[in-house]
Amino acid sequence: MHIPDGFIAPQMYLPAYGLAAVAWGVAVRRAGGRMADETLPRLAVLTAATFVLMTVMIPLPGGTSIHLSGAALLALIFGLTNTLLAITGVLLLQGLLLGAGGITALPLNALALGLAGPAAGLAVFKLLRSWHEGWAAGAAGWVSINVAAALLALALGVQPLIAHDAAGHPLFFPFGLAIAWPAIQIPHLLVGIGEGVLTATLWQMAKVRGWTV
Amino acid sequence: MNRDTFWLLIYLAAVLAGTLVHDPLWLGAAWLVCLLLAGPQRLRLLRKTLAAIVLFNLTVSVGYLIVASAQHTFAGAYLLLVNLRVGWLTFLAFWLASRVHLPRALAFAPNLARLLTVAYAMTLRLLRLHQDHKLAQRSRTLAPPTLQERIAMSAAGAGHVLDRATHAATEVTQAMRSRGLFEGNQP
Amino acid sequence: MIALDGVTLRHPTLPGAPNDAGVLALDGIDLRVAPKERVVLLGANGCGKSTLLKILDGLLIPGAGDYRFQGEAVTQASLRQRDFSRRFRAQVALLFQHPEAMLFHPTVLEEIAFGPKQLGMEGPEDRARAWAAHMGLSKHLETPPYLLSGGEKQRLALAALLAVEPQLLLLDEPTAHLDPRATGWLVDFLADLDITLVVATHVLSLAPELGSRAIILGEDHRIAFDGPLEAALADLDLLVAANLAHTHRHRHGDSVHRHFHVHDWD
Repeated sequence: MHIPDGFIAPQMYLPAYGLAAVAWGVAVRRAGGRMADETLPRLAVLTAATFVLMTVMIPLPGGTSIHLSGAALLALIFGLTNTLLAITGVLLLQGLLLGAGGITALPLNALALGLAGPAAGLAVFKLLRSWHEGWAAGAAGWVSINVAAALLALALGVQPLIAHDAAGHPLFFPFGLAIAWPAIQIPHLLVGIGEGVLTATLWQMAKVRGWTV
Repeated sequence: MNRDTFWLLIYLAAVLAGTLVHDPLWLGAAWLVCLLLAGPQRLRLLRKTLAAIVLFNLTVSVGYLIVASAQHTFAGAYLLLVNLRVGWLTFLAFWLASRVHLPRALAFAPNLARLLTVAYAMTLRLLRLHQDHKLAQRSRTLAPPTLQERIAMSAAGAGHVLDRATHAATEVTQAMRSRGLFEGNQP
Repeated sequence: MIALDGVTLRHPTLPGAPNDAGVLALDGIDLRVAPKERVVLLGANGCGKSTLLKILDGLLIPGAGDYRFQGEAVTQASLRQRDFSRRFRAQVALLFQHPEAMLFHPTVLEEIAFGPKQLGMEGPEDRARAWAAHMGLSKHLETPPYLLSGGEKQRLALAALLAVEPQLLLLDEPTAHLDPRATGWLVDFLADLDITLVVATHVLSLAPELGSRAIILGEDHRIAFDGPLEAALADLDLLVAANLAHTHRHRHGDSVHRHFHVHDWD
């Protein structure tokens, strides 16, 4: 979710960077260890593919459409390490190269969209795989979107608590959990279905076409 | 440290400052100063800033107006503060992107710089490919497609991107290897 | 059939580029094409051939100027009208340079049958089978398109396009990725088609086989020449100016020299 800078307090984004740095450190070490020099171009290409995947529009009933996230699909095909690094790469490209900003939200997006969401999705996939692989992949897509949304809703919803002035007025994002959570989660419950459908479709394709980096 | 790294650090410091200061006057003044310093491209940057934040900010602002009024906690100062803060920080990001060459700014982390450079170049290629794919689909679609057809077309487009990317991964790796980027230790 | 007046188009800049004005692709293009004409669109890379074809296919809308197809204006608004859009899309077909961009169905049969089905034609599957046979793809009816070879993909794309019986066929560098045999096949195939044709290419040696009228786009993105193909090919100065002829060191017998020339082959 693109959250412009100025809605998240340093009390949150600074520790978030700390946490994300640990995750990135682990990921880089794991990626480097397994693939050595070739990691760089392969990861670069995966980052590029992720960037473009995130521009793919999923049509929804009623004529609207939303952006694919692709995180669950990436995790299913390329693993969690690659997913976290590729999504972080995309966030960096979007934030700094294209100037879309969001540097304060970057660690939160990386952790939610790039790690927690796909990890949950992957877990659900492994659980349901033996029952019906297609549905398992779809569920992975839905879960990854909704776990990420929940975490971002949580991050936003606590802003008024952690950062307010003497009179109790908010300084960053103004809505507490009671509003932020349903407002963010409910649309994603629906939107996640589209993600799930596309994840399932692309997972079938992936198996046939043997995508690897 | 080169100029680009310097400006990147300044940007990061400014963002931190922008989230530690809670006086709309200071934030507004800072934004004004930046507008002045930005030179002839200031209007273009301003336009991009507003376009980038209008949806989110409007939603939050209107939402706050409604909710806070209902709860009798409305403070106009907050609306001013948050919009100025978000506006200035977003302006800074666009300004940074227009003035700084990111790979050079990241010269202290050459692998990251190289990764982003290759990723960006590849992104442009894949975006063009994907765009062509969408145009081709539009060109061949005679009647408004059903939901199922539209999903299939989106999936086909995404699949095509992954096809090309996974092929390119080998190609790019071979090209870098052939240019000696993998011999010995990297700087 | 086709009428372009003062068509100008700028591509939006790439993300991260310093200015927003856009990259000029076409500048003030005036063009008329009559039914059944066979036009060869020549020009160096980057001069706007693909862009022009996409405009003719209603995929890109010019920033300035008008495009009328069979007398009807082709604009963003008109393409939003279902009736017009349907008619237009059925009558104009564009073969993309990379045929895979055009293929998005799970099997060859479905790919070809898609257009006729959308048009509500009778017996779309039979039609598809007939076209597949015509293109030598009968044994691949159930094959996924991405498993076909480059030449086969192009034949499939052509079949899918022609199955709806368009009146205008646009081809974007169709021989760019073909081997000589496939090229030969394509040239013969196009010669037998009774249709209005606009083929973009920068392979001069093939041009006479593809059409009788040449439109040359210069590097300034304007029309540098519009007339009989033979006249264009005979005018070396014109070809050099349009970056269609080159110079490099070569031998004639014992001497090595350089001069502007175009490669001929029989």
